[in-house]
Amino acid sequence: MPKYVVGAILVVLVIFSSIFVTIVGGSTYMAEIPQSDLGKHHEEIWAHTGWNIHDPFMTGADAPTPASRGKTVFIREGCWWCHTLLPEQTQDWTYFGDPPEAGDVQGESPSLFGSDRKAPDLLHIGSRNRVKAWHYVHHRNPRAVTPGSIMPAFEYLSDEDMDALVAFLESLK
Amino acid sequence: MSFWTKNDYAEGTAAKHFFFSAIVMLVIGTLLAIITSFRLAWPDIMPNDIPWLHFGRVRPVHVHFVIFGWIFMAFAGAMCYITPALCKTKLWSERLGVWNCWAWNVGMVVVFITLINGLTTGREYQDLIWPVDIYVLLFILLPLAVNVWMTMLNRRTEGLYVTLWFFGAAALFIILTYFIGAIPDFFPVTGLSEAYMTWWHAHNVLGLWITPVSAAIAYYIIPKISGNTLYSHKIGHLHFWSIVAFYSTPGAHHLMGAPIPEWLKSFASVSGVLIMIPALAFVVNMLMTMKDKWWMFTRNISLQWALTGVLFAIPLNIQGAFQQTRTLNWYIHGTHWIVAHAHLALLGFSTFIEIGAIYYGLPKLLKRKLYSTKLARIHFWMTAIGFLGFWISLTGGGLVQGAAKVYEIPYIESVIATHPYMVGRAIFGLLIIFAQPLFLYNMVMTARKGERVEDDAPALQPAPATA
Repeated sequence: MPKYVVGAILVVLVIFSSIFVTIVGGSTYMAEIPQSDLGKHHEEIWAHTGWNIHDPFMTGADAPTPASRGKTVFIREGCWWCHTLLPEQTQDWTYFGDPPEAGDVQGESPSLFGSDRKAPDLLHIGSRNRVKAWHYVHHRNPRAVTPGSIMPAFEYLSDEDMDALVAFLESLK
Repeated sequence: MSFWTKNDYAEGTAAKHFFFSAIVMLVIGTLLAIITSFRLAWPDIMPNDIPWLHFGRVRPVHVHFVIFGWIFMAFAGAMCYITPALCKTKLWSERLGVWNCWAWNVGMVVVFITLINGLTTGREYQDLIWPVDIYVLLFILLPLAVNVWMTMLNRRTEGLYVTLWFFGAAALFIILTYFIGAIPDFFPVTGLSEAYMTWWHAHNVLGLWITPVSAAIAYYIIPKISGNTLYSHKIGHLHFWSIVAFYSTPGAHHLMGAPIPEWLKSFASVSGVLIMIPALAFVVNMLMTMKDKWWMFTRNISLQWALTGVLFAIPLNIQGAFQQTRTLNWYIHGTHWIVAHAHLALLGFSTFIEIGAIYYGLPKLLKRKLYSTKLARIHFWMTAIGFLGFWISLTGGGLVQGAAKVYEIPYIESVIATHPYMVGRAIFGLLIIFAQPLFLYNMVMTARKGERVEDDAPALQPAPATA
């Protein structure tokens, strides 16, 4: 066998094993992380008890809790394109609260960390803002309570959707 | 087999279908960006009681039309045109190509209807729900790969030119990447594992499909048009293998702030910096190929587009290599800087090369001359100036957001501070958006009224150097 064939096989093996390690190794490692209490708490509200991506046609009406139904609205309306659920390892810690721990998002799908933040992080919105009426006004007319906001005014959301969405925000402690 | 290979369609039919569909997708995709960019600058500029006009609904549709519609179909067109040319043979099945193209367009309609109505997985770049994932894999990606591979197997040349390595490999990579990325849609993979797979997919659609195929197209058209041979096949080898080695693993660098294992972040970050190797190899190879032919840069419209795309790869890869290291990532992650970087990759680098390829290939396929070079130049300058202004606005806005992280000001202050940058982005964006219908018009007129080229031969010629 010519030398370059051996070399090529070695290169392919190294490349594919490194891909394998990062996908499978990374995933199994993360799946074994024990959950913190906070994570267990989250799983009760979200996770498999609520909307999940395996059932995309579910409208959320069948979801067992208002909060899990609210997550459906949060995903459907694309709130997560601006609002992250990931306080990062920067000054975020003091402003948006603690970043999630390794087990906190276990059972979540989608995890909704977000990538493109154009609005406040919401992972701890339930603790930061407890005024229910504020949330209702804010969603219908954001600029009435926050001048300068660029959030869309969700005039078309039904009352049921709005109740669910606020319940979801309140669950994010 | 004979059903597929029976010659009902003229040579080049599939490529023509793909190129025209791609241009239509580009026009639609950029028009949708009016809604997203204007909404961020002036949130109440459109009626608020129509859900289909809201940012959160339109953003994923815009992303899918410009990536899955425009870029992917332009790639498919280029593959159906360049692969037979370099193999000195016909496309394995024009019929499969044409059907693939129509399946693709039907797929885009499904994508539009599902996403605009909020039927989404909530996973970035894997937004399509699982039935659509199956459709994409079986009727969009697989037939294209089969067509490319079968054409390569039936080639009449001995060696394979650089472009073909990339086409053959990328057709496999995109199927694998898409499947692995869709796993959490089918199986109960949740939490950090789901987030990791989402970003592994998102990064590798770029790394193993968009970047290599864009480069492969440049590897064909730049030597072809300039008449020079490729500067170095060895550098081409380096480019190919280093892209496979380093560009397939850095997905976790999108999660530097998330609680994934630290070793995974370090691994991703280091391989992310090593992406400089394929990137520089590619840029050097292309620029050196232009040796003594730089006068053509301003004379030949296709080269003008393609080389501008290659030049955009320089800032793109310097950003890409270093912005994902821990040192910089905390400052710019999640800001408009990243949106600017994404547009530099997809609009600056990739789209410019593909438009160059279409200005070169489509008139050849139609056996006509380009209808209007002047219009093509207006298209170029509107897109280039629009893009530069757009990119500078967004990058500036991103730096303001980064600074706002440091100074702990209330978040709303950073939203107000970035308003001028959002206005700049929307206005410069309009230049890009209004330029694309000119492209479509020019190409439709080329098909209808372009001056006929009698000599049929040039349509299917191999690149000057086949290794």
